[in-house]
Amino acid sequence: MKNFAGGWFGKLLRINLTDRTSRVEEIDHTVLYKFVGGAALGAKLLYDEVSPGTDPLGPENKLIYAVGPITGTDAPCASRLNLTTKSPLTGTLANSLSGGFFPVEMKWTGLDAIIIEGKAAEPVYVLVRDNKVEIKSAVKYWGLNTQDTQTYLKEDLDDHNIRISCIGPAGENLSLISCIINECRALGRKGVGAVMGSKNLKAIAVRGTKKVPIANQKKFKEIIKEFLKYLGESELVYPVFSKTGSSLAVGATSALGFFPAKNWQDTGVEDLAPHLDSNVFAQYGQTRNRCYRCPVACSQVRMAKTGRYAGISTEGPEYETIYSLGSVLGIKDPAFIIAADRLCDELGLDTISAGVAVGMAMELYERGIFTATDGLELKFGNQEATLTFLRMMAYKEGFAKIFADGTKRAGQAIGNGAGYYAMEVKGLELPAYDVRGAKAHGVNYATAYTGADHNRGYASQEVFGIPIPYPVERLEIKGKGVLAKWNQDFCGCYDVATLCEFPAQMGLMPVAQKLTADLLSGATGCEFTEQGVWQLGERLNNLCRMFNVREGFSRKDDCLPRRLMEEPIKDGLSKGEMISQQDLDFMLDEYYEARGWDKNGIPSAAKLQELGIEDTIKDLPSGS
Amino acid sequence: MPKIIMRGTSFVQEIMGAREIEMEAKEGSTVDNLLAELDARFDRRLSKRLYNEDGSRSNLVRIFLNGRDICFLDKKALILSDGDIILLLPVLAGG
Repeated sequence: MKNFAGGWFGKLLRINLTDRTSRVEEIDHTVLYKFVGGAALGAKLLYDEVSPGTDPLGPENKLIYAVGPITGTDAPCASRLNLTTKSPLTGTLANSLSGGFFPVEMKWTGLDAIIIEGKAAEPVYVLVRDNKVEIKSAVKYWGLNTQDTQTYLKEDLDDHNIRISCIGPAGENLSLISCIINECRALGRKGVGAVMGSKNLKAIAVRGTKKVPIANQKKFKEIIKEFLKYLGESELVYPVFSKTGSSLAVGATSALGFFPAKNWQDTGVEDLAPHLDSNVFAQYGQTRNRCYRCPVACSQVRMAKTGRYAGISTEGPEYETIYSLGSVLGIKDPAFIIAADRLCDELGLDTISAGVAVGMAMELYERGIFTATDGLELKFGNQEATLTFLRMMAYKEGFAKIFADGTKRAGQAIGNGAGYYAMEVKGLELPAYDVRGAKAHGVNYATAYTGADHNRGYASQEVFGIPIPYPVERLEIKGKGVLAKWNQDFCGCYDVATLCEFPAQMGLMPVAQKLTADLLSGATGCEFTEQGVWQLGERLNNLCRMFNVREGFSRKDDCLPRRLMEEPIKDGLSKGEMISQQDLDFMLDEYYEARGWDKNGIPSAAKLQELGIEDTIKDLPSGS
Repeated sequence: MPKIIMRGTSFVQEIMGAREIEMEAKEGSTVDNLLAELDARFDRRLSKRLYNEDGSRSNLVRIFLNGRDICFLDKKALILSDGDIILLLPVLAGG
């Protein structure tokens, strides 16, 4: 491979909090070309540096922030950051993606990645201003919520354009459902906030002035023009999505009867769209926010204008949060969801996991399995109890402590059959698609390398009817293993290139890989092809699978909650649907075959060799 | 005559003036027969979205019969029975 001429800076910053040192290291050019950036660069670094069996909350675990070669350029929809670590919630590799302005600011410091390792003796924050790196005391910020942390740090640094990634009380208290917040955006899911908290790291602040070099400026500009043209021609991106954000999905999933309700026991019983769809939330709209260089600006800022939550605003709620702090709790009040979303962001709680944990607690309470709630009446629909419970989880107070480490652990701690009501896969709480009515989502939840994670293989074909790579019947199981593999590799490409998946799913699907290849080629001066970009996604999925295999994961862990395999959907247009063990086995067999993995879900040496990650072959279990 | 629920989101809901309406179908009517009646009832405002110029069904609106995408149903399954629910879901539109 020839040397690159732009895009990457070729550098990572390694910060050791134990001995309070930092150094800049060159990244091997072959590694950059093969893993590019974002999720794959993070996965490669984690694979090489975090040994199997590492305690996710111990100093040996690492937090890896990674951007990509087009982050911080003029490319649209490319202000994306990937955080990779070993998840304390699932024990798998964790990656989380966030947008906003932090990613580009980090890139402008001249870095492609930041690795945080060790553990500080007292709370600290890391300040990176171009080449200057400081590890400073964060004692005065410890205990603050995420919004106050950002405000006060900016004031103290006298720089209101500095960008900050930080934890709130949930991360400080090592809640395994905590997240990391930059601006109002979350590096969510998988307990990444607890990893940051375990290192006594309150925040990372970045400010950069370095321009990202572009190898072929003319070509790069032409591709951007083409990218924007496709977005402009989309019937969804500007006409609908930019005005609704992800909340537009409520209408489809609710109408088709797979919008989950009341901890997944009442999916389909009521069409919730009239209460919670994007038309309803539009009435709360204030303005729209955008990530750097995003022409879509899908992030809807909404505010409760009357009633008990009047004056509370949030960036969102996104579709997932409308589910987790709304339908799954039996709550149909948009103003409440706005307020609860804001609260979770401030506390640094992942909205999906936190809401699903509350939903589980409510069902256990109503069924009389768990009633030791210190007088808190945890019934579905109880808004006040939900807000109290969310706060208690963030601070790990009282009975809520049991749920603050996720539903799987709550089920194990409570016993008495409580685990049946834990809606999780590999410990990660389920997102907002009831897979009984959308089977490709089911295979993805079961097999995604981070646990039940819609972002790792979103089946837009089942939700929006997008006929690419082909039209699918959402209720069929045949073909869904192959489709899940396709979707995971599709999403993987974007996670590696650090491009936003939303426009890709909605306006660019037929040309997404080609455009991505051209953008990467134009920026770096290296040759990327459409097929090569597809392989980036496949390589990512296999590398992450191998990280998990090395930790002992296999087919036995590719499962779904028992409820979804034993209880059919009660009513609505998906009535009677479920995924039996036999159905799941059929889809898994198909999926593994499509992936080139064996029946136990272990990648073959030949596949790893084909993808250029032959150094992982040594970690295959003996006999596979 | 079989009573059928016609349900729609987005622009279909706007045209119908409600998220769902009830219609009566003649014995032996198919989904397409009832859609034609629906279109006629609303001044042919639906047909532009539901059908292409050559009369074939447009890809822009998904049509479900009792939750099943009719693209994947055989002709016999498209004959309506009492209590059937037809859902018109514009592709790429949710709310």
